[in-house]
Amino acid sequence: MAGLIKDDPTQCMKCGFCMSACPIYKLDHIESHVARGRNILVQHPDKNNLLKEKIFEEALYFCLLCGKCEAVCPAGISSSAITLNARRDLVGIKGQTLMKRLIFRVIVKNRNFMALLARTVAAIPGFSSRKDAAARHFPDFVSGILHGMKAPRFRVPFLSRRVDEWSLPPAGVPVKGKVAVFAGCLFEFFLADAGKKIISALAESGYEVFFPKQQTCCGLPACASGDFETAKEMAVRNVTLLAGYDHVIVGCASCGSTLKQYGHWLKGKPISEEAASLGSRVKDFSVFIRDHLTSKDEVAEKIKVTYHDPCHLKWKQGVSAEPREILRELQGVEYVEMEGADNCCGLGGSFGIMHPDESRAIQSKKIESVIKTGADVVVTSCPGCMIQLMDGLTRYGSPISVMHLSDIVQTRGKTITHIQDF
Amino acid sequence: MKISADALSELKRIVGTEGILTSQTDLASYSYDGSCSWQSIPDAVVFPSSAEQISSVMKLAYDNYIPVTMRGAGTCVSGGPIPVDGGIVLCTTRMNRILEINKENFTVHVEAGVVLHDLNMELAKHRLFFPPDPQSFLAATIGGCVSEGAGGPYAVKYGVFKHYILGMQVVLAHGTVLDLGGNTMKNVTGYDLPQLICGSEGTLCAIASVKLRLIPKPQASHTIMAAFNEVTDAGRAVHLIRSSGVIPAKIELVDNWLIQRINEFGLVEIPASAEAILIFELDGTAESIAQEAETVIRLCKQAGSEHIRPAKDAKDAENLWTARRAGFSTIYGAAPTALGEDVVVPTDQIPTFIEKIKEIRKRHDLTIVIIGHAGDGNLHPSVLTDKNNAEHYSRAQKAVQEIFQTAIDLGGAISGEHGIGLEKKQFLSRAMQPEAINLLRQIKQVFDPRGILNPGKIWE
Repeated sequence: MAGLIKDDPTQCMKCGFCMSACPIYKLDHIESHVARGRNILVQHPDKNNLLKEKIFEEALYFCLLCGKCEAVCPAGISSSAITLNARRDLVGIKGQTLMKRLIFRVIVKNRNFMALLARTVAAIPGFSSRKDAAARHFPDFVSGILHGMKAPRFRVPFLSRRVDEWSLPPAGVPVKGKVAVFAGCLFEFFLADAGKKIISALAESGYEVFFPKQQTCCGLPACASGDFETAKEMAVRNVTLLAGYDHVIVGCASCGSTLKQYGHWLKGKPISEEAASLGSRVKDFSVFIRDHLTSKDEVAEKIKVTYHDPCHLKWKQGVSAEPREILRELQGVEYVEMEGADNCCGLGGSFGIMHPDESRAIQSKKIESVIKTGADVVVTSCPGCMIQLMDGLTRYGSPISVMHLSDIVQTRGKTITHIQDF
Repeated sequence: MKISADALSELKRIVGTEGILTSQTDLASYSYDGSCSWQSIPDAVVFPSSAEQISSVMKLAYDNYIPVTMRGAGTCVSGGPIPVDGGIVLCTTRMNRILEINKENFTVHVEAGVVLHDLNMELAKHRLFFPPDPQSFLAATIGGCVSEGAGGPYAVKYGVFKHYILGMQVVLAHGTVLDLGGNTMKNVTGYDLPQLICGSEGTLCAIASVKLRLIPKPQASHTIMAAFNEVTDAGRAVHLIRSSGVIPAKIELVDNWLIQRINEFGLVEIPASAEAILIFELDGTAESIAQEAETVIRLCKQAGSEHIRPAKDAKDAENLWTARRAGFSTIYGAAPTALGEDVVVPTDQIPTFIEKIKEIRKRHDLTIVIIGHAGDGNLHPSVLTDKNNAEHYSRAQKAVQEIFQTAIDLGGAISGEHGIGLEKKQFLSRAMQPEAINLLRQIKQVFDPRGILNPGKIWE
């Protein structure tokens, strides 16, 4: 799909179908908070005056970027791309805040510096998940900033220190080929266990797995904050690192959908062809591993499992069947579909921090339908969703565990590891 | 500014600060609907949560001569909810509770802001069904549909909104809350006020809730597509089928321009030579459908169709309907502006009407795509144009006027299901006698003596 993103707001025919999909519109019914509203606002004749209002900027950020509106849009336009372009334009006019400049241009862009910072923070008691680290004041403080959301803790050592640059199939398993893995920041710093399992599952399936340690953030957070230049610099670096691999496996729905857009991002640059090519080689972990499961695969204990569709996997990448097929075929797993499995978890990157009330209202609906299934485990394919689900289930005092698909694939013949603690 | 600071703070008192929007950004977001040609900014957008709040807002507006424009989801395509005189936009979208589903009486009582699709999803749990299906059903509210007298493809068998209205709770211009009609299948107690309000486009009163008739959900359905080399043959097929006593739930027509696009789309294959296709949906029991399908296929053959394709299974049927729906987006994607019209002719005039539209298309050198509900004579000729290209746009508008005039000449109407609103008010005098329009004005005067309810709509 690279290069085919329709981001012309004049193509919006104002039918309003997006209202039926938008999790936020369903909450507050405010027109400027739904795709149609923004599509019209950004081309409004009086836009220069509207720009002066704080509420105009708020409208641009009152979006989870989930992409569900695009799935129902009869005109086939990408309203999230239009919203992102508008955020970029606004940054062009008003400038970026110092804090965001610092976060994206200095910290997130430089993975090594970010790792150094993260390790430093992780050393503070309570910020990492080492059992000996007593959780007290600092997490409470962070939790306060995040409006009560249970802050994810750093997992030391980080993923890139847990795995080698190459992971090889176990002895006796015939080699099928080479793949590269793109992990993304959340697996690197917060969910390293699950990240590592993606790599080992691929290796066990017969692939020589390359994990380029110089990879950086996919660029979505910077792009979502209107800083396209920084996002593109990140994209260029990742495109260069991942060139030459037939398959680039991604376990994070948001990173995967972003990598697939690199061709569009880098249009007109010398590297654009390579970027578009990367987009076509990127595969979600579920899509790739689907073909490499054997019927003998089973989980150690009988468990009841439900699945949550990450928006960026279902709406942005059109993947929803494969994870379910995998779960249904695993021996010992009783699969149960939840009501509204493809309803957003409510995180939406920094949306959850900027709009805690709305985020939590969306999260609550999700958690209630997870609990209603009576499942032992809720599986998903995105570390962002995982964090949001863990937070929600904790809030509801529910014992249900959250797992990445790679976690449950890895439980074949082994005892399930609960990764509830984060 | 139509609203004084005092009135504004009174509005805030009535609905709370969460229930009112006044920033320029938000006001701009309520300046349009689904139509192409108008924008007008209100002074405040108010979200009531009950009939009592609507009543308080109406009293305030009445006392202060503030225009009030009702709005649901704003999916109207005739300009109905555009606040041309500013004032208050009274948006019912937060009044979205289904108050009662009565499974024994086959009725439902809903607040005005309930979305049609949400209602049918809920009814399906009880094996119930509310058939009228304007194609904006994903977002459109019941209040908006009732106000516009909306309908859709199911009209051929099941009728339109007005055929399902049993009663409603309304708020009059000066704030009185009234219960009209009832909850029974038959009711001739005085003038039928709910029927008068249905289709009045928010010019008579505010609708707070509606009582609707339901039917049991049909057990099964089946889809058949038939291609015709001549539009007149398609017209004859429709006539033969209707005469046979078979009443399909839907009979949709798609013209050659769209057939080619559908073929490009690749979901369904249609002979490229076909001038038109008809898509039938039959519903009922499995037995009745099998029998009716046989009749439909036989009569389509008799009318000259050489390519008839019954859907193999549910997935195949869904593909056919997806192709039909994709037509809609294809039209809108094919030009910067698409004037999607809504005219009705007596069903026996469909082939003649289509021939006339082709002449108009040729005369003005335009692309005019025809899709529509062949079973009830309601066609949507869509003129592809660009409103920023003055010369082209003026040709397109001339074509639209000629389409309207042709429909009237053939004994038809200038709106089947979209309403008059702003879009067609200049044509009303051609479609209605002056005395009849005068009667409308007098009725309006009785309901709304101060002219505050959706001013500027229906007539000039």
